Amino acid sequence: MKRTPSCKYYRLLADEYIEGELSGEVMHDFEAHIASCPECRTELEELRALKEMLAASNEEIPDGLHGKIMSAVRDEARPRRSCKRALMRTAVSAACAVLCLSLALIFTVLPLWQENTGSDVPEDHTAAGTNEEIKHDTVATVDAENAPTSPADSVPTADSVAEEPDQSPIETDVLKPDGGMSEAEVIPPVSTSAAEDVTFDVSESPSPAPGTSAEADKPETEEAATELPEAIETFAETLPISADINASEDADGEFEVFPEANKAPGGDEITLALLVVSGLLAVASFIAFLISLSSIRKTSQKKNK
Amino acid sequence: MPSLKYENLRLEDLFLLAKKGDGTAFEHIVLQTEKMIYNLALSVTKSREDAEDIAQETYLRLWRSLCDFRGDSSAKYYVLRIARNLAVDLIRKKSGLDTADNVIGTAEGDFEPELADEDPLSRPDEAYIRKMRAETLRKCLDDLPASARELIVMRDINGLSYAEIADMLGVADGTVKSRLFRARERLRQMIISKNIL
Repeated sequence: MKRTPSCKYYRLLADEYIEGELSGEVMHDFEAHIASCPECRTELEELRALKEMLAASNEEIPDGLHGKIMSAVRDEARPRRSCKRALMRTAVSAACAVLCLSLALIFTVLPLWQENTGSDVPEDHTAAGTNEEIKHDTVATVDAENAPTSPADSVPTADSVAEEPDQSPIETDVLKPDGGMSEAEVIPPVSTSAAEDVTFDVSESPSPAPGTSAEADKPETEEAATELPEAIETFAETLPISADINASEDADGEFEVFPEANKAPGGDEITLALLVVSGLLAVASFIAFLISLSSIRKTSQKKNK
Repeated sequence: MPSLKYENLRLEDLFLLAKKGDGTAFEHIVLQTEKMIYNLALSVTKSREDAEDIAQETYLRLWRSLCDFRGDSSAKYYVLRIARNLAVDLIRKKSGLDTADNVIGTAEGDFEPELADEDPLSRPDEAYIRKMRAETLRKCLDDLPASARELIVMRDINGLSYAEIADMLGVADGTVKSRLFRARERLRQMIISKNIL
Protein backbone atom coordinates (compact mmCIF):
# COMPACT_ATOMS: atom_id res chain seq x y z
CA MET A 1 0.00 0.00 0.00
CA LYS A 2 1.42 3.34 -0.92
CA ARG A 3 2.39 5.47 2.02
CA THR A 4 0.17 8.49 2.23
CA PRO A 5 1.30 11.84 3.61
CA SER A 6 -0.85 11.16 6.53
CA CYS A 7 1.33 8.14 7.41
CA LYS A 8 4.15 10.45 8.50
CA TYR A 9 1.68 12.21 10.84
CA TYR A 10 0.50 8.92 12.37
CA ARG A 11 4.08 7.58 12.72
CA LEU A 12 4.85 10.56 14.91
CA LEU A 13 1.86 9.65 17.07
CA ALA A 14 2.88 5.99 17.44
CA ASP A 15 5.09 6.58 20.47
CA GLU A 16 2.33 8.47 22.32
CA TYR A 17 -0.19 5.78 21.40
CA ILE A 18 2.08 3.08 22.87
CA GLU A 19 2.53 5.14 26.09
CA GLY A 20 -1.27 5.65 26.34
CA GLU A 21 -1.02 9.40 25.91
CA LEU A 22 -3.52 9.69 23.04
CA SER A 23 -7.22 10.22 23.76
CA GLY A 24 -10.53 11.11 22.16
CA GLU A 25 -10.76 11.78 18.46
CA VAL A 26 -7.00 11.64 17.85
CA MET A 27 -6.75 8.10 19.23
CA HIS A 28 -9.80 7.03 17.22
CA ASP A 29 -8.28 8.38 13.99
CA PHE A 30 -4.94 6.71 14.74
CA GLU A 31 -6.52 3.32 15.36
CA ALA A 32 -8.56 3.66 12.18
CA HIS A 33 -5.42 4.43 10.18
CA ILE A 34 -3.43 1.57 11.73
CA ALA A 35 -6.22 -0.80 10.84
CA SER A 36 -6.09 0.30 7.22
CA CYS A 37 -2.28 0.72 6.77
CA PRO A 38 -0.11 -2.45 7.14
CA GLU A 39 3.20 -0.54 6.94
CA CYS A 40 2.21 1.78 9.75
CA ARG A 41 0.98 -1.26 11.69
CA THR A 42 4.36 -3.00 11.25
CA GLU A 43 6.28 0.07 12.32
CA LEU A 44 4.02 0.40 15.36
CA GLU A 45 4.85 -3.17 16.42
CA GLU A 46 8.57 -2.65 15.84
CA LEU A 47 8.51 0.49 17.92
CA ARG A 48 6.67 -1.32 20.70
CA ALA A 49 9.34 -4.08 20.74
CA LEU A 50 12.15 -1.51 20.70
CA LYS A 51 10.67 0.37 23.64
CA GLU A 52 10.28 -2.88 25.56
CA MET A 53 13.91 -3.75 24.87
CA LEU A 54 15.04 -0.31 25.85
CA ALA A 55 13.00 -0.42 29.06
CA ALA A 56 14.56 -3.81 29.89
CA SER A 57 18.03 -2.67 28.93
CA ASN A 58 18.44 -0.66 32.06
CA GLU A 59 21.54 -1.87 33.78
CA GLU A 60 21.13 -3.05 37.35
CA ILE A 61 22.71 -0.80 39.94
CA PRO A 62 26.00 -2.03 41.36
CA ASP A 63 25.96 -3.93 44.65
CA GLY A 64 26.23 -1.62 47.63
CA LEU A 65 25.18 1.52 45.80
CA HIS A 66 21.83 1.66 47.62
CA GLY A 67 23.60 1.38 50.99
CA LYS A 68 26.09 4.09 50.05
CA ILE A 69 23.29 6.42 48.98
CA MET A 70 21.25 5.93 52.19
CA SER A 71 24.35 6.27 54.39
CA ALA A 72 25.25 9.57 52.76
CA VAL A 73 21.69 10.88 53.16
CA ARG A 74 21.57 9.88 56.85
CA ASP A 75 24.89 11.67 57.48
CA GLU A 76 23.46 14.74 55.78
CA ALA A 77 20.26 14.61 57.85
CA ARG A 78 21.77 13.96 61.30
CA PRO A 79 23.60 17.26 61.96
CA ARG A 80 20.52 19.23 60.88
CA ARG A 81 18.31 17.57 63.53
CA SER A 82 20.90 18.01 66.28
CA CYS A 83 21.45 21.60 65.20
CA LYS A 84 17.74 22.12 65.42
CA ARG A 85 17.63 20.60 68.89
CA ALA A 86 20.57 22.72 70.03
CA LEU A 87 18.84 25.79 68.66
CA MET A 88 15.69 24.88 70.55
CA ARG A 89 17.62 24.44 73.77
CA THR A 90 19.28 27.79 73.29
CA ALA A 91 15.94 29.42 72.57
CA VAL A 92 14.40 27.97 75.74
CA SER A 93 17.36 29.08 77.86
CA ALA A 94 17.27 32.57 76.40
CA ALA A 95 13.54 32.83 76.99
CA CYS A 96 13.98 31.77 80.64
CA ALA A 97 16.78 34.28 81.15
CA VAL A 98 14.76 37.14 79.71
CA LEU A 99 11.75 36.12 81.80
CA CYS A 100 13.79 36.14 85.02
CA LEU A 101 15.34 39.50 84.16
CA SER A 102 11.95 40.98 83.40
CA LEU A 103 10.49 39.73 86.68
CA ALA A 104 13.49 41.09 88.58
CA LEU A 105 13.04 44.47 86.91
CA ILE A 106 9.34 44.51 87.74
CA PHE A 107 9.86 43.71 91.39
CA THR A 108 12.61 46.33 91.64
CA VAL A 109 10.91 49.11 89.75
CA LEU A 110 7.38 48.65 91.10
CA PRO A 111 8.15 49.66 94.69
CA LEU A 112 10.13 52.63 93.44
CA TRP A 113 7.21 53.73 91.33
CA GLN A 114 4.80 53.35 94.21
CA GLU A 115 7.10 55.40 96.39
CA ASN A 116 7.31 58.16 93.80
CA THR A 117 3.54 58.40 93.42
CA GLY A 118 3.12 58.43 97.20
CA SER A 119 0.58 55.69 97.19
CA ASP A 120 1.75 54.30 100.55
CA VAL A 121 1.28 57.49 102.62
CA PRO A 122 -1.08 56.79 105.52
CA GLU A 123 -4.67 57.89 105.15
CA ASP A 124 -4.90 60.00 108.24
CA HIS A 125 -2.37 62.48 107.03
CA THR A 126 -4.94 65.28 106.61
CA ALA A 127 -5.20 67.49 109.60
CA ALA A 128 -8.58 68.08 111.14
CA GLY A 129 -9.86 71.49 110.39
CA THR A 130 -8.90 74.35 108.20
CA ASN A 131 -5.71 76.31 108.25
CA GLU A 132 -7.42 78.84 110.39
CA GLU A 133 -8.26 76.15 112.93
CA ILE A 134 -4.73 74.89 112.82
CA LYS A 135 -3.48 78.30 113.61
CA HIS A 136 -5.93 78.49 116.45
CA ASP A 137 -4.71 75.17 117.76
CA THR A 138 -1.16 76.32 117.41
CA VAL A 139 -1.97 79.44 119.21
CA ALA A 140 -3.86 77.49 121.79
CA THR A 141 -0.85 75.26 122.29
CA VAL A 142 1.36 78.25 122.64
CA ASP A 143 -1.08 79.76 125.03
CA ALA A 144 -1.24 76.58 127.05
CA GLU A 145 2.50 76.49 127.31
CA ASN A 146 3.19 80.15 127.96
CA ALA A 147 0.10 81.96 129.09
CA PRO A 148 -0.71 81.97 132.76
CA THR A 149 -3.79 80.14 133.79
CA SER A 150 -4.91 82.88 136.12
CA PRO A 151 -3.87 86.43 136.73
CA ALA A 152 -2.69 85.55 140.19
CA ASP A 153 -0.11 83.18 138.82
CA SER A 154 1.60 85.96 137.02
CA VAL A 155 2.10 87.97 140.13
CA PRO A 156 5.17 87.18 142.09
CA THR A 157 4.13 86.75 145.70
CA ALA A 158 6.00 87.56 148.73
CA ASP A 159 6.67 83.89 149.17
CA SER A 160 8.35 83.70 145.82
CA VAL A 161 10.28 86.78 146.62
CA ALA A 162 11.10 85.40 150.00
CA GLU A 163 12.57 82.34 148.34
CA GLU A 164 15.27 84.42 146.89
CA PRO A 165 16.10 87.03 149.43
CA ASP A 166 18.51 89.62 148.50
CA GLN A 167 19.54 91.46 151.56
CA SER A 168 22.16 93.54 149.97
CA PRO A 169 21.27 97.17 149.52
CA ILE A 170 20.73 98.23 145.96
CA GLU A 171 22.68 101.15 144.79
CA THR A 172 21.49 102.91 141.82
CA ASP A 173 22.16 106.12 140.02
CA VAL A 174 19.17 108.31 139.67
CA LEU A 175 18.87 110.27 136.48
CA LYS A 176 17.91 113.81 137.05
CA PRO A 177 15.64 115.71 134.74
CA ASP A 178 18.52 117.87 133.62
CA GLY A 179 20.52 114.87 132.58
CA GLY A 180 22.81 114.80 135.42
CA MET A 181 23.09 112.06 137.84
CA SER A 182 22.24 112.40 141.45
CA GLU A 183 24.21 110.74 144.09
CA ALA A 184 23.62 107.19 144.45
CA GLU A 185 20.69 106.53 146.50
CA VAL A 186 20.56 103.51 148.56
CA ILE A 187 17.40 101.67 148.21
CA PRO A 188 16.81 99.48 151.13
CA PRO A 189 16.04 95.94 150.32
CA VAL A 190 12.54 94.93 150.35
CA SER A 191 11.44 93.50 153.57
CA THR A 192 11.15 89.83 153.45
CA SER A 193 8.72 89.70 156.21
CA ALA A 194 6.20 87.10 155.48
CA ALA A 195 3.51 89.34 156.84
CA GLU A 196 3.78 91.81 154.04
CA ASP A 197 2.27 91.05 150.65
CA VAL A 198 3.89 92.76 147.78
CA THR A 199 1.94 93.11 144.60
CA PHE A 200 3.15 94.23 141.29
CA ASP A 201 1.13 95.30 138.32
CA VAL A 202 2.36 93.28 135.36
CA SER A 203 0.01 94.52 132.66
CA GLU A 204 1.25 96.86 130.01
CA SER A 205 -1.57 99.16 130.49
CA PRO A 206 -1.12 102.00 132.80
CA SER A 207 -1.25 101.08 136.37
CA PRO A 208 -4.68 100.87 137.62
CA ALA A 209 -6.03 103.51 139.71
CA PRO A 210 -5.40 102.93 143.41
CA GLY A 211 -8.25 101.37 145.15
CA THR A 212 -9.31 98.98 142.51
CA SER A 213 -9.95 95.48 143.72
CA ALA A 214 -8.37 92.22 142.53
CA GLU A 215 -11.66 91.12 140.98
CA ALA A 216 -11.68 94.28 138.92
CA ASP A 217 -8.25 93.29 137.57
CA LYS A 218 -9.50 89.90 136.30
CA PRO A 219 -11.41 91.01 133.23
CA GLU A 220 -8.43 93.06 132.18
CA THR A 221 -6.04 90.12 132.36
CA GLU A 222 -8.49 87.86 130.57
CA GLU A 223 -8.82 90.48 127.94
CA ALA A 224 -5.05 90.60 127.73
CA ALA A 225 -4.94 86.85 127.44
CA THR A 226 -7.30 86.83 124.47
CA GLU A 227 -5.58 89.78 122.89
CA LEU A 228 -2.35 87.78 122.66
CA PRO A 229 -3.80 84.89 120.64
CA GLU A 230 -5.55 87.37 118.44
CA ALA A 231 -2.28 89.14 117.86
CA ILE A 232 -0.62 85.86 116.98
CA GLU A 233 -3.50 85.01 114.72
CA THR A 234 -3.26 88.31 112.96
CA PHE A 235 0.44 87.83 112.52
CA ALA A 236 -0.07 84.33 111.22
CA GLU A 237 -2.48 85.56 108.61
CA THR A 238 0.17 87.77 107.20
CA LEU A 239 2.48 84.83 106.72
CA PRO A 240 2.58 83.45 103.08
CA ILE A 241 1.39 79.89 102.65
CA SER A 242 4.42 77.63 102.29
CA ALA A 243 5.02 76.29 98.81
CA ASP A 244 5.53 72.90 100.35
CA ILE A 245 2.14 72.77 101.91
CA ASN A 246 -0.38 70.97 99.78
CA ALA A 247 -3.34 73.28 99.61
CA SER A 248 -5.56 70.93 97.71
CA GLU A 249 -8.96 70.49 99.19
CA ASP A 250 -10.56 67.13 99.39
CA ALA A 251 -14.25 66.32 99.47
CA ASP A 252 -14.64 67.14 103.16
CA GLY A 253 -13.18 70.61 102.77
CA GLU A 254 -10.03 69.54 104.56
CA PHE A 255 -6.66 70.47 103.29
CA GLU A 256 -3.68 68.28 103.15
CA VAL A 257 -0.99 70.07 105.03
CA PHE A 258 1.73 67.49 104.90
CA PRO A 259 4.14 68.33 102.09
CA GLU A 260 4.72 65.70 99.44
CA ALA A 261 7.75 63.54 99.77
CA ASN A 262 10.92 64.49 98.00
CA LYS A 263 10.23 64.00 94.37
CA ALA A 264 12.79 64.09 91.55
CA PRO A 265 11.60 66.00 88.51
CA GLY A 266 10.50 63.50 85.75
CA GLY A 267 11.20 60.47 87.94
CA ASP A 268 7.60 59.26 87.79
CA GLU A 269 7.54 58.95 84.03
CA ILE A 270 10.86 57.12 83.85
CA THR A 271 9.91 54.52 86.42
CA LEU A 272 6.51 54.03 84.82
CA ALA A 273 8.16 53.52 81.44
CA LEU A 274 10.60 51.03 82.96
CA LEU A 275 7.70 49.20 84.52
CA VAL A 276 5.79 48.98 81.24
CA VAL A 277 8.85 47.78 79.33
CA SER A 278 9.58 45.14 81.97
CA GLY A 279 6.03 43.92 81.82
CA LEU A 280 6.06 43.62 78.05
CA LEU A 281 9.42 41.82 78.13
CA ALA A 282 8.09 39.37 80.69
CA VAL A 283 5.00 38.59 78.59
CA ALA A 284 7.00 38.22 75.36
CA SER A 285 9.61 35.95 76.92
CA PHE A 286 6.92 33.80 78.51
CA ILE A 287 5.21 33.35 75.13
CA ALA A 288 8.57 32.50 73.49
CA PHE A 289 9.22 29.99 76.25
CA LEU A 290 5.86 28.27 75.64
CA ILE A 291 6.45 28.15 71.87
CA SER A 292 9.91 26.64 72.34
CA LEU A 293 8.53 24.01 74.70
CA SER A 294 5.81 22.97 72.24
CA SER A 295 8.36 22.75 69.39
CA ILE A 296 10.62 20.53 71.48
CA ARG A 297 7.65 18.34 72.35
CA LYS A 298 6.70 17.98 68.66
CA THR A 299 10.29 17.11 67.71
CA SER A 300 10.42 14.45 70.44
CA GLN A 301 7.13 12.94 69.27
CA LYS A 302 8.39 12.78 65.67
CA LYS A 303 11.57 11.08 66.82
CA ASN A 304 9.59 8.53 68.87
CA LYS A 305 7.46 7.72 65.82
CA MET B 1 13.20 -4.50 54.78
CA PRO B 2 10.92 -1.54 53.99
CA SER B 3 7.34 -1.81 55.19
CA LEU B 4 4.72 -2.89 52.67
CA LYS B 5 2.49 0.18 52.73
CA TYR B 6 5.15 2.40 51.21
CA GLU B 7 5.53 0.12 48.19
CA ASN B 8 1.94 0.84 47.12
CA LEU B 9 2.33 4.60 47.20
CA ARG B 10 2.96 6.78 44.17
CA LEU B 11 6.19 8.65 43.88
CA GLU B 12 4.40 11.98 44.46
CA ASP B 13 2.85 10.67 47.71
CA LEU B 14 6.25 9.48 48.91
CA PHE B 15 7.62 12.95 48.20
CA LEU B 16 4.93 14.52 50.41
CA LEU B 17 5.74 12.12 53.27
CA ALA B 18 9.47 12.70 52.90
CA LYS B 19 8.94 16.48 53.05
CA LYS B 20 7.50 16.02 56.53
CA GLY B 21 10.63 14.19 57.64
CA ASP B 22 9.61 10.55 56.99
CA GLY B 23 12.94 8.82 56.39
CA THR B 24 11.31 5.53 55.32
CA ALA B 25 9.38 7.33 52.59
CA PHE B 26 12.63 8.84 51.30
CA GLU B 27 14.22 5.38 51.20
CA HIS B 28 11.34 4.19 49.05
CA ILE B 29 11.87 7.13 46.71
CA VAL B 30 15.44 5.92 46.31
CA LEU B 31 14.28 2.32 45.71
CA GLN B 32 11.83 3.38 43.00
CA THR B 33 14.21 5.67 41.10
CA GLU B 34 17.80 4.59 41.69
CA LYS B 35 17.99 2.30 38.64
CA MET B 36 16.57 4.99 36.39
CA ILE B 37 18.95 7.61 37.79
CA TYR B 38 21.98 5.36 37.53
CA ASN B 39 21.27 4.47 33.89
CA LEU B 40 20.61 8.06 32.90
CA ALA B 41 23.91 9.09 34.47
CA LEU B 42 25.59 6.13 32.76
CA SER B 43 24.13 7.09 29.37
CA VAL B 44 25.53 10.63 29.71
CA THR B 45 28.92 9.97 31.32
CA LYS B 46 29.58 6.49 29.91
CA SER B 47 31.38 5.72 33.19
CA ARG B 48 30.06 3.41 35.93
CA GLU B 49 32.20 5.12 38.58
CA ASP B 50 30.91 8.55 37.58
CA ALA B 51 27.36 7.20 37.34
CA GLU B 52 27.60 5.96 40.99
CA ASP B 53 28.92 9.33 42.19
CA ILE B 54 26.20 11.16 40.31
CA ALA B 55 23.51 8.88 41.74
CA GLN B 56 24.75 9.50 45.32
CA GLU B 57 24.97 13.25 44.81
CA THR B 58 21.51 13.29 43.16
CA TYR B 59 19.84 11.92 46.30
CA LEU B 60 21.80 14.22 48.59
CA ARG B 61 20.58 17.21 46.61
CA LEU B 62 17.08 15.77 46.56
CA TRP B 63 17.11 15.51 50.36
CA ARG B 64 18.23 19.14 50.68
CA SER B 65 15.70 20.43 48.16
CA LEU B 66 12.61 18.43 49.15
CA CYS B 67 10.97 21.55 50.53
CA ASP B 68 11.26 23.19 47.09
CA PHE B 69 9.15 20.47 45.41
CA ARG B 70 5.68 21.92 44.98
CA GLY B 71 4.16 19.26 42.71
CA ASP B 72 4.16 21.49 39.60
CA SER B 73 6.03 18.75 37.71
CA SER B 74 6.08 14.98 38.11
CA ALA B 75 8.26 13.61 40.89
CA LYS B 76 10.15 11.40 38.43
CA TYR B 77 10.99 14.41 36.26
CA TYR B 78 12.15 16.34 39.35
CA VAL B 79 14.66 13.64 40.28
CA LEU B 80 15.81 12.99 36.69
CA ARG B 81 16.43 16.69 36.17
CA ILE B 82 18.75 16.82 39.18
CA ALA B 83 20.66 13.78 37.89
CA ARG B 84 20.97 15.13 34.34
CA ASN B 85 22.23 18.51 35.51
CA LEU B 86 24.86 16.83 37.68
CA ALA B 87 25.94 14.59 34.80
CA VAL B 88 26.23 17.52 32.41
CA ASP B 89 28.19 19.55 34.97
CA LEU B 90 30.59 16.64 35.47
CA ILE B 91 31.19 16.26 31.73
CA ARG B 92 31.65 20.03 31.44
CA LYS B 93 34.31 19.99 34.15
CA LYS B 94 36.12 17.08 32.53
CA SER B 95 36.01 18.40 28.98
CA GLY B 96 35.99 22.14 29.65
CA LEU B 97 33.26 22.82 27.06
CA ASP B 98 30.47 25.43 27.38
CA THR B 99 27.31 24.01 25.83
CA ALA B 100 25.59 20.88 27.07
CA ASP B 101 25.17 19.52 23.54
CA ASN B 102 28.88 19.73 22.92
CA VAL B 103 29.57 18.22 26.28
CA ILE B 104 27.31 15.21 25.77
CA GLY B 105 28.41 14.79 22.16
CA THR B 106 32.05 14.33 23.08
CA ALA B 107 31.57 12.21 26.17
CA GLU B 108 33.93 9.31 26.24
CA GLY B 109 33.79 6.46 28.65
CA ASP B 110 34.82 2.94 29.38
CA PHE B 111 31.44 1.40 28.70
CA GLU B 112 31.83 -2.17 27.61
CA PRO B 113 29.39 -5.08 27.34
CA GLU B 114 29.57 -7.32 30.40
CA LEU B 115 29.29 -10.54 28.42
CA ALA B 116 32.27 -9.87 26.18
CA ASP B 117 34.33 -12.58 27.85
CA GLU B 118 31.60 -15.22 28.11
CA ASP B 119 31.21 -18.10 25.63
CA PRO B 120 27.83 -17.63 23.87
CA LEU B 121 27.48 -21.37 23.27
CA SER B 122 27.73 -22.37 26.93
CA ARG B 123 24.37 -20.89 27.96
CA PRO B 124 21.80 -21.06 25.04
CA ASP B 125 18.69 -20.43 27.21
CA GLU B 126 16.19 -17.63 26.70
CA ALA B 127 17.46 -15.56 29.55
CA TYR B 128 20.92 -15.54 28.07
CA ILE B 129 19.54 -14.54 24.68
CA ARG B 130 17.58 -11.78 26.25
CA LYS B 131 20.64 -10.60 28.10
CA MET B 132 22.76 -10.65 24.97
CA ARG B 133 20.14 -8.71 23.08
CA ALA B 134 20.06 -6.07 25.82
CA GLU B 135 23.79 -5.73 25.81
CA THR B 136 23.87 -5.30 22.04
CA LEU B 137 21.15 -2.71 22.29
CA ARG B 138 23.14 -0.77 24.82
CA LYS B 139 26.14 -0.91 22.53
CA CYS B 140 24.04 0.48 19.72
CA LEU B 141 22.82 3.24 22.04
CA ASP B 142 26.38 4.03 22.89
CA ASP B 143 27.17 4.40 19.23
CA LEU B 144 24.42 7.00 18.76
CA PRO B 145 25.18 10.69 19.03
CA ALA B 146 24.89 11.86 22.62
CA SER B 147 21.87 14.11 22.06
CA ALA B 148 19.98 11.24 20.35
CA ARG B 149 21.00 8.84 23.07
CA GLU B 150 19.82 11.21 25.80
CA LEU B 151 16.42 11.65 24.16
CA ILE B 152 15.87 7.90 23.86
CA VAL B 153 16.97 7.28 27.46
CA MET B 154 14.68 10.00 28.82
CA ARG B 155 11.63 9.01 26.79
CA ASP B 156 11.85 5.27 26.19
CA ILE B 157 13.76 4.16 29.30
CA ASN B 158 12.74 6.72 31.93
CA GLY B 159 9.24 7.45 30.61
CA LEU B 160 9.30 11.25 30.70
CA SER B 161 6.64 13.12 28.71
CA TYR B 162 7.41 15.28 25.68
CA ALA B 163 6.64 18.39 27.70
CA GLU B 164 9.04 17.42 30.45
CA ILE B 165 11.84 16.62 28.01
CA ALA B 166 11.18 19.89 26.17
CA ASP B 167 11.41 21.77 29.46
CA MET B 168 14.62 20.02 30.44
CA LEU B 169 16.30 20.69 27.10
CA GLY B 170 14.82 24.13 26.61
CA VAL B 171 13.16 23.37 23.26
CA ALA B 172 9.60 23.08 21.92
CA ASP B 173 7.50 19.90 22.21
CA GLY B 174 7.38 19.48 18.44
CA THR B 175 11.19 19.70 18.25
CA VAL B 176 11.49 16.93 20.83
CA LYS B 177 8.99 14.77 18.92
CA SER B 178 10.78 15.09 15.59
CA ARG B 179 14.29 14.65 17.08
CA LEU B 180 13.13 11.56 18.96
CA PHE B 181 11.59 10.09 15.86
CA ARG B 182 14.87 10.49 13.98
CA ALA B 183 16.88 9.02 16.90
CA ARG B 184 14.65 5.96 17.10
CA GLU B 185 14.80 5.47 13.38
CA ARG B 186 18.59 5.49 13.47
CA LEU B 187 18.66 3.05 16.38
CA ARG B 188 16.19 0.78 14.70
CA GLN B 189 18.37 0.57 11.61
CA MET B 190 21.40 -0.32 13.74
CA ILE B 191 19.45 -3.01 15.59
CA ILE B 192 18.09 -4.53 12.39
CA SER B 193 21.59 -4.67 11.02
CA LYS B 194 22.65 -6.67 14.07
CA ASN B 195 19.63 -8.97 13.80
CA ILE B 196 18.29 -8.47 17.31
CA LEU B 197 14.92 -6.99 16.48
